[in-house]
Amino acid sequence: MMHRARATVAIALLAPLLAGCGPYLLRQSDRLQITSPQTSTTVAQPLTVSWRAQDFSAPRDGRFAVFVDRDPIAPGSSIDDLAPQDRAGVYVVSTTSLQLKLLIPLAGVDPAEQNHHDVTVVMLDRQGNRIGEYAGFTEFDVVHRS
Amino acid sequence: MKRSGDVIAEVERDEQRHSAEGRAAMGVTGETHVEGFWRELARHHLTLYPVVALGLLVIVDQFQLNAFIIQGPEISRGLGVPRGLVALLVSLQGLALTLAALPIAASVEARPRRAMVAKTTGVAWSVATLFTGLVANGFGLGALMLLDGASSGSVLAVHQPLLLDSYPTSLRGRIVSVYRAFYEAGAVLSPLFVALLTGVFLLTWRGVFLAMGATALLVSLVALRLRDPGFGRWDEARLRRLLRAEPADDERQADEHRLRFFEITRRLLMITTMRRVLLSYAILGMLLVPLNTYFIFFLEQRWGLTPDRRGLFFAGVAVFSVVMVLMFSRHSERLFRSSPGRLFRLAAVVQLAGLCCIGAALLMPVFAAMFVAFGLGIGCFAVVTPMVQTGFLSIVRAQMRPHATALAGIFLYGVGGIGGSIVLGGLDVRYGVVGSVAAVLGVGVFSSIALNSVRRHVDADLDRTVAEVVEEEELRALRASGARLPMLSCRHLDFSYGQLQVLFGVDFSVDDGEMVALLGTNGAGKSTLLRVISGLGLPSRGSVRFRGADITYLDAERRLPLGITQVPGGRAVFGPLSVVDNLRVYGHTYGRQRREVERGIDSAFAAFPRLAERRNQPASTLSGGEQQMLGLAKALILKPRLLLIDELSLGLAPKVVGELMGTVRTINRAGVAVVLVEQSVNVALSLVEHAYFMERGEIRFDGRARDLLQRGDLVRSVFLEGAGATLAPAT
Repeated sequence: MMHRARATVAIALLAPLLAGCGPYLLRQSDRLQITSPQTSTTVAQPLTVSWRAQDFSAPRDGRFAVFVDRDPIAPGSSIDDLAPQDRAGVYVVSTTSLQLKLLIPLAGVDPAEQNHHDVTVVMLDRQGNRIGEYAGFTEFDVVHRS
Repeated sequence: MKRSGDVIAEVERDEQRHSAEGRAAMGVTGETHVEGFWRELARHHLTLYPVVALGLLVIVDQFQLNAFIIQGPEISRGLGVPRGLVALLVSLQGLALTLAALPIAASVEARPRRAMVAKTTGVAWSVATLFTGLVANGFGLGALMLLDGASSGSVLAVHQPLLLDSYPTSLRGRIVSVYRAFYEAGAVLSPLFVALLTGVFLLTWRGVFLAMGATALLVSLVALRLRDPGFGRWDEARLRRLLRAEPADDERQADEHRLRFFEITRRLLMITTMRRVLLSYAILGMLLVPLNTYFIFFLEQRWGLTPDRRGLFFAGVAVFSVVMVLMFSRHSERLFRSSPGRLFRLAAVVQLAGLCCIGAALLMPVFAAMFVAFGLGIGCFAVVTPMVQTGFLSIVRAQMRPHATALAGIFLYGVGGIGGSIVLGGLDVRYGVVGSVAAVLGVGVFSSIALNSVRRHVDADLDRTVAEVVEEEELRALRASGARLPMLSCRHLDFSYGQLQVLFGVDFSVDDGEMVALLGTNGAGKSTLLRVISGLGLPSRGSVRFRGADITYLDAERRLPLGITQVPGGRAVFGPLSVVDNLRVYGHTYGRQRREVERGIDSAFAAFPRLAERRNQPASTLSGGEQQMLGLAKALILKPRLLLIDELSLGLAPKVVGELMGTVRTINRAGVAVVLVEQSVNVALSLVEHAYFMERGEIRFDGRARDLLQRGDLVRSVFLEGAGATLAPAT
């Protein structure tokens, strides 16, 4: 009886963790890679973010979502679930590059970090849901022309 | 007739006789010679297994947190959880670790099952690491971080107490140092392992957690053969064996006298050494958390180190710690054996040297010199930890060590860490990075001062621990030999209200069925002594024993079932409640046994018919004498074996006093021992054979009541007025 109770408790505890267990990415993949700008570089504005994807062609297989200075959506969730006011810094494109004309210095961070930006690119299926945990990432500093 | 309190005086003489061998049994031999490490292990037929097993556990314990911190950005991007959540989970893990330490300590206080707890929690945090690789969302991540933190609480609570009981005291300092070296090695190996898995094996964050979790699980299996050697195997138990002519069947304290969680915690906080160490840890914690943060900024801004290079930098710094801890271990051992006070002084000096090295690192113009200076500074902190832990754990009773180490962790990471973040956070905005590191180092000086102050108290605290064990053992032997022990015995009681000390080395004893008077001037400490006996006040020194069992730190409500009941001074009634409700409230001690309560109320009314007549009347409407009667009746409901009565006659007419005293005499005749606190000498001495006289917190007279009457220097004429006329023969 005691063992059964313990097993029930263990299953109850583990169930939420296992829920959604799927084909997780265990080895690093170059399926989606940002080619420019390179990580830890300093770039001028306007800048173009470029990437390449394997086994994925937009718009045939879906689109790309580009997240500038913010976290991407969770795997499986839809880009359409983002409320309009939450879409700042989110770009959905069918190409493999995106020109960013002006990146505004970040507020509420250390002055030295205000011009430090990051970009994350993920793949979306044709319904707008994020595909797997594949993500291209780069971080860089931006110089402002005076 | 010889009172049984004299037996306790003999025990006290034994304590003094055994003091030196007691200290030696606890590891403080006074010698500076230290036997070789391996030779000592071989001499005791011991292996390194316990320290290696626990050391491996403490290494893999660091896997989860290190992997989480290093891979935070990847986790955030992979799961799509906010970066802020990742940082929050790191804090939650630390909070769970500190909060879980005391409950884990509580789980091992009754029985020595520390090895089992260490093994179970080791498996728990390994599983947490493994499952982090399979987590699907932020909630799962949070649950696993909490599980990891909570299970890591065992590192704080049980690892070192278990080690101390696994090795002889001659190896204590070195074993604690070796364990610390494992801990520091974890700080090197964990980030390197993450770097290997990501850089060479090209694993994602999930792969890293799965690999590290599997490794941790395998390593945890190494600890499966760990066994708990029992509380105090190499110190307290050894001392008991030295004192004992014959082996005892059961060393465990009776459950009714065994201190429980809050009592142990409170007891520990009353030890001066412990308090000073905790203060020092709290200040050190305030320093360490902001120091790490500010130093990372310093490395980035001054030396342009990227995150991966900063990781390598801190791994390299940890190498200094491993080497220095091992280098200092023999010297620490030597100091501990010769004089724990000197050990604490050295710890304070080394800590101060560490602060200076880190300060120097800020000014170094060359990177290599900065690295060495910082490494030496952090190494000094690492060296201090085993020194302090060896010292303060040796003056704490073996059963209380899990609580002591848990408290140390809470003060270091909880009180200090959180306090430091609040008080010293944001300094860099005002003073810049270098200025904020320097300010934080300044705070650390106070930690060294607190640590240095321990040296004045540690010897006395060690002697007190030895005396407790010797006293327990002597009393056990006396009980076994059939000697008559006093029902109540208080030895050397000191008590203070804050800074104001009111009891000074009070010795006081009561035999079964005896009635004694406790007399003295106003403010002499009589009522305070009763409070200490009934558990309402805790002494800063000395012991209270009931039938030989130590109840000094037992909660007041746990003394009631033993039969100790107090009738407080003044009017001991709840005014707005009726007479019967006053009695019923006291009956709550019986829990849900309503019949027992009703029987008690009936017998109280039988003993005090006047109360029965007023059973539904509010207690506040009773006369002064009736209220005192009600106070006595309430105490009787609890069926006391030792009744402490405080100022029963105060403000009452002589006739009423006579009636009440008659009742007290009846209670005593029924076999209840009574301590009668009185200012009125003639009233008290009319009832008792034995009397104590207190003045300014000290017992000035302990002897026959009639002899007290001869002591004009003590009993002033105001008390004696009419004594001769009213003094009735004692019964």
